[in-house]
Amino acid sequence: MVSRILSVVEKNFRQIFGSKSLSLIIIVAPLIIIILAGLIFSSTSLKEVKIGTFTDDSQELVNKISEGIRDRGFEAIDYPSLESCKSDVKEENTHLCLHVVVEDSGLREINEDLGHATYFYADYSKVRLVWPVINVAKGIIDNLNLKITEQTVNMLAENIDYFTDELEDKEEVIEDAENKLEDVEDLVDNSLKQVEKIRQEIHNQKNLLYSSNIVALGNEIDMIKSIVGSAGLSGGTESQLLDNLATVDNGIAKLQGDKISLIQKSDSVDGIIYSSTSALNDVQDKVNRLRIEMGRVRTQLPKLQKLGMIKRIKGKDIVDPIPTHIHSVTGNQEEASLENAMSYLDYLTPSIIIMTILFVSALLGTVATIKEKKSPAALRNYLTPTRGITFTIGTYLSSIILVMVQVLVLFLIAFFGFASYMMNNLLLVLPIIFILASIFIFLGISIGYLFKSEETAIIGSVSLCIIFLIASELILPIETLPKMVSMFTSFNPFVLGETILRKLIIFELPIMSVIKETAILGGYAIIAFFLALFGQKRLKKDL
Amino acid sequence: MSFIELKEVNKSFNQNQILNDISLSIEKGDFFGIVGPSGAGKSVLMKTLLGIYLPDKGQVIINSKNIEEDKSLKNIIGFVPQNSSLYPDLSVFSNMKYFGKLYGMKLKDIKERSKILLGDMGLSSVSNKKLKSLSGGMNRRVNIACSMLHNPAILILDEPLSGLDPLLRKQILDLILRIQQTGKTIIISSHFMNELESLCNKVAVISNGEIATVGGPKEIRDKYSPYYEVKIRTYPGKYKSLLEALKRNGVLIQKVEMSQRDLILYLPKSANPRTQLGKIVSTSDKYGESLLEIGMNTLSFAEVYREIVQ
Repeated sequence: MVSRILSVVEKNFRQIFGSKSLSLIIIVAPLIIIILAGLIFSSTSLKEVKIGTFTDDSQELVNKISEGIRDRGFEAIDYPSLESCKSDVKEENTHLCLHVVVEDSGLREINEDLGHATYFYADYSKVRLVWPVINVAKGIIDNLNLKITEQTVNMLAENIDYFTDELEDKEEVIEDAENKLEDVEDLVDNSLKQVEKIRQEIHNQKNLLYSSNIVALGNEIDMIKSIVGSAGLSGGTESQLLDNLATVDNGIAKLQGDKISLIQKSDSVDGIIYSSTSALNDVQDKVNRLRIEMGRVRTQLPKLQKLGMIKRIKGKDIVDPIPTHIHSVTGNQEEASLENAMSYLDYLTPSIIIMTILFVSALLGTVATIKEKKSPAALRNYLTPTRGITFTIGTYLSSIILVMVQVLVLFLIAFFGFASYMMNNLLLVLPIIFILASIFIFLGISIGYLFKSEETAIIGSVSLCIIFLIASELILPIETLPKMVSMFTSFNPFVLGETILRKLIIFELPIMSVIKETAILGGYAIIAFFLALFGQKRLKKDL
Repeated sequence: MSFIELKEVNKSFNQNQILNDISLSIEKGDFFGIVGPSGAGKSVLMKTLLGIYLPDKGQVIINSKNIEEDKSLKNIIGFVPQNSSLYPDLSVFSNMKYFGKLYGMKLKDIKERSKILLGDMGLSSVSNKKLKSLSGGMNRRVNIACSMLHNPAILILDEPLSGLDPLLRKQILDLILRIQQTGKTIIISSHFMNELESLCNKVAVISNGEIATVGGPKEIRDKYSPYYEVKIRTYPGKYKSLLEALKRNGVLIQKVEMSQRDLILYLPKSANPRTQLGKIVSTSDKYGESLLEIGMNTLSFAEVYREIVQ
């Protein structure tokens, strides 16, 4: 049987390499897929990305953004209008349109670049590309934002620094002024006491004045005058006495007038003293308050001096006080920074490998089978004393040899394209790929036997691949599917293969971590083999 | 027991009865022809003989072994399909090597046998050429050579002569005859009745999935051709009155075909042909019909076949 199987394999290879059309279908087409996949692995950065920019009145800022875009190795295209910018995204001439507008709230007085907003216009139908491009553009804007914020914060820090220095110098002056104010306060207090004393004396004097009975003296003089008149003194003496009494009376009257005038003047002085006292009280109060305020300022000075420490802090530390560091859970601890933001494509490696194997293997199995089935020699094959299993195994072996050679080409391209991580656990990865390729080849063979025409068989095979693809994490996260469906899809060989390769290539885990998935895949390979045998049994009907 | 025996073989597809109680016996060394109109069941019968289809009912016994039970019978059967059944992208020798391996032959034996067969068939010079580069005639010969590679005791040929020009047909016929002379049992289906008649020692006519008749070509022709055909042409050719006169003078006419130029009379095989011809000649003279042409034939195998299937 082995000799017969080898004969079938030899015949298949002779046929493939002897026929241009067959070799084109079976070798060249899959090889192109493999090379493309290999090239993806060789460089996971975005290339040839074009970002359109437009602004009405912030050309300077847009120039800075364009510079950032070019620094990342992308192309920046300046557009004369927003419509043309958006239109080119729709027509796929650019990948993103970036619109910069002024939304000024007075900040531009501080920094010309402040007070702007950016609007992205993206084509979300390009599911796989739109997010990386947005990430890149956002990264560029974030970088610029950081620079602008740093500049602004640095400027603020410099000003605060200057003022705290000034405050440090003025602390003694404030203290001195505070002391002087205290002296002034004491002085005012003494003055107030003196004034009060004067006011009291004036008050006493006024009371004395009030108590002097000058009017009674006048009455006494009048009484003396009447006594003199009645005393019968000589006319001369009497008149002398009366004249003298009149002079005294006039003096008393004048004294009465002076007393009134004095009282009025002391009232006036009293009023002045009172207002002076109020003024002094007011001055004292203000000085007191000023002193308290100055004392408070002085006690606050150490706090303000803390601001001076800001000069030791970088703007970045204020803008981004809690920096985020994202590390992958792989052995590679390289930080996922803006610069290597695209490295997430590396994590698609298992999916891309499985997808390539899926399509290449299933189509190879189908094409090889249907070509054999449609071959004029199919009937003669059947007439030989050779069991059907021989042909199925022969077709499988021919296909698996081709697939494994192509897989090696894929790994070699990836390796020489500096995706050396692909070589992680290679000795474990290759047997897993072998099992996966076997499953898909056997399924492809089954489809080849099941369908009658080449066209329908290929459509059937591609449809099967698409079903596997849709029911995987490559297009939709399994978590978004209904629970029952997601449970079934988790047993999809594509998903199982992805899981195994992710663990082996990316996380570099040992074989024991994927033993369950590998066992299930092995089971699938056996089932697929029996499906292929069942299909082969049906072949007789088509002869 | 015969070398090949079909016992009441029935085969149907989707409730369509294709073979209905077919029973045949083919002896070792026979050159057995299978004829029948399209859709009569010839191909299904051949595929049943090859073991591709298994009978729903009945048995196919070859060399005292039931074809359903003994897969080794494939080693003694060679099949030449109507169209080439080889890989066009492989060379003649690669094809032979591949099929030789599938028959379990050693490479040395394959080389020896190929050399002999290709030499016999005048194909030595094209041994390393790809099949698709060969002419139609060469392709047919390679097809036969490949079927003979494992030296089968039985060679089944399905319409090996169809689509060939007369010269090529003759070449292939000679080749088949040479093969048969080596003691092989040949089973052949063809629409070329005359060739079959000359080659086959036994023919089965199939119609509507049943064996209409089976036997030697002469035997069948005698069985299904009960008349002598006498074709006459006279002048002035008043065939209606002549016919009446012939009947009156004792010519045993069973059936008549009349055209503007010829009168065809069918006489029973029981009649003496010499006496009957004499009567025809004398009657014609007597009634003023100058005899321009006269010929006597029995029905050809092709005509007998038409008679049978109609």
